[in-house]
Amino acid sequence: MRILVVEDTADVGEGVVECLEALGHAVDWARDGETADEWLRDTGYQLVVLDLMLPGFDGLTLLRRLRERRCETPVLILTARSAIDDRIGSLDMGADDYLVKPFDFRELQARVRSLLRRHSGGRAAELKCGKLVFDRSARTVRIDDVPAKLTRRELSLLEVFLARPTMVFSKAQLLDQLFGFSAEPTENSIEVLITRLRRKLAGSGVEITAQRGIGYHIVET
Amino acid sequence: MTVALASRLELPPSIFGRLRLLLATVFLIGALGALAAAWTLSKRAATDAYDQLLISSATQISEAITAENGQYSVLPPDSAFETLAQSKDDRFFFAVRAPDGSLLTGEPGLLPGSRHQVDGLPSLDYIDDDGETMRTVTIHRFIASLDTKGWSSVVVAQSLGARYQLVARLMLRIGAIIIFVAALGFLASLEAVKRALRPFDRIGHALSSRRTQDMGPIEVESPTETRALVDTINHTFHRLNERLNKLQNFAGVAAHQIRTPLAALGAQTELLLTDQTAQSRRKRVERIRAHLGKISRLTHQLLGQAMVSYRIDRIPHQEVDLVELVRHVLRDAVPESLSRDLVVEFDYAAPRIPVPGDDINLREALANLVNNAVTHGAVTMLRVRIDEGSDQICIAIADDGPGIASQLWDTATQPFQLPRTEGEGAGLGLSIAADVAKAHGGMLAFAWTAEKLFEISFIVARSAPLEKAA
Repeated sequence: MRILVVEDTADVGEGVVECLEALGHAVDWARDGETADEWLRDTGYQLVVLDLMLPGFDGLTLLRRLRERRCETPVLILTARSAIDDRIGSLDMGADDYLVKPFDFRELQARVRSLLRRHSGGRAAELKCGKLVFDRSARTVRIDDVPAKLTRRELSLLEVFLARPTMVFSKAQLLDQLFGFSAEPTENSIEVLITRLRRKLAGSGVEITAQRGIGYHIVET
Repeated sequence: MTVALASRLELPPSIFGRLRLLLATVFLIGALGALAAAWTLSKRAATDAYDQLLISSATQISEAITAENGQYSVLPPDSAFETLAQSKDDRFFFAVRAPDGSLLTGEPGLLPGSRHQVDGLPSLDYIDDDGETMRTVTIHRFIASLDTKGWSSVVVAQSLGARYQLVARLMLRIGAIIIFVAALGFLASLEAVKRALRPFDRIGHALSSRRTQDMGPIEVESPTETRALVDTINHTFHRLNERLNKLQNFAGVAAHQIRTPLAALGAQTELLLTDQTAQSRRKRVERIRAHLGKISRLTHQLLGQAMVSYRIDRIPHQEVDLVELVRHVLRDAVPESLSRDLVVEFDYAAPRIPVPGDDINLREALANLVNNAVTHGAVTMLRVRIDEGSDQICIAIADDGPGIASQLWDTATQPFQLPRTEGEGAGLGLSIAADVAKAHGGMLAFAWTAEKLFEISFIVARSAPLEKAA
């Protein structure tokens, strides 16, 4: 995936870029608002990591221009200002998530992964399959209109399948989408997770089936 | 136009000056009004009195007209002129005419003021005689004898000097009385205002003469009217003092909490420079990262605390939907990088649960509670439930973690009170949440549920709290 990082503080920017490159993404680093705006017009990015305090024009202006162009690229805001005022403002203006500085780089990786996952398969608020409804904003699943008790990881896994219902995912791809390359969990833990999810999906009219040697995909029964 | 005028007319700066201006205006207008009324009444009284004399004189003359053998004659009695002659400076003259209009006696130039012939009824008028205004009275009288009959007329004219003098005499006396009473009233009012304002001077003096460090109550003899003001000032000083004391204590503890991990960070960095093996260096870096994490969390919480207490004092409450708010908090406050996997449950009694509140403070408080539950507690599950009571709403946050020991519940909401092992929370989260709950007319409560879950209840009032937390 191609990611744009907009950050003027060199030490922070360097860390963010390396941390995202470690996840296997192609990362461009803009150090001010004008450059970032120019690049965003020319290049299709899958995600923007945006610092709010920038020389030239600030992050919120950049975000507003981006959304005015009807560009739906997910934006993760980095802010060091009074957390909440910025937070509310930026979420109203169309940011998808935020992190308050100083932040943990593992958390940044996890948020980026989660944002990319959530924005795969379009921005639909609800994903439906069989008797199952996945509410993406509330992060809840209802089967036959009864709430299902899924863990956060089970929810993420289900979302990966539901967002691209025709695609077959290898264990490595799933591991990457859920935990990142550098994480400890092994392909074995993916199997455990899939087994648990299958059990919880029993009777929902939705099944996760294995394609021998290729991977898993979701089917409506 | 009026605005421009008002801005040019500058009001005096003091209350006393403004009241003085107001009183002076009121008394001046009152006195002028009274003088105008007195003038009108005096003038009417003088006119009436002298008109009566004039009429009486004309009546006497008219009664002296006789007709004999077709001849009219008049012989006015002396008394008819005596009354008029009493006004020494005034001129007077008269004319008596027979029914055929011929002058019997008097001034030929003086003509009857009216033709209306009603027997003995006087008609009054003013005429101009060589530039001087004169009052005239005309009386027609029907004269009949054996051989002749008709309407004779009498006109008497008098200058107005005596009337003016009477009005002037009356006005001198009445005017003096009015001015005296108005001046007395004005001075008495000024004195009353001065006395009424004196307690304010005393309070101002008491406030300005105290030392800046003095936070005790001001002691001033004050009447009941200013008692409330003095009490409020003293109450404010008391609160300010309490706040400053709290702030000082807080600053002391916070300094310790900040300096300790900074010192540890310094020490570990020094040691890093002397570490020989890659393995020991890595260990050192891990420890440095842990200390940094602690300082970061502490900074977040200290800034959060500052924002929350600022907003508690200043931001008015608005309607906040708790269901929507908790949904946001759950999305934001559970770290994505959490290594454990969790079931996050959220139950609510109604699709919308609005309360009066400050959404930013509520969010900060609940985010702290949820984040605590997730990072220090929750092993496999976190459950948030919103229950509606008749006058309170309870947001219960439960997890299956170790919780807080019951003997610490009483002090848990004090800043930096919870004993934590190194690398864990900074100990401000619960204190922030408790402050916010209190400001929303509620409190923080701890419990173990029947399912052996540790539960923190964040309780807020359904309607606006009467007084915000001091």
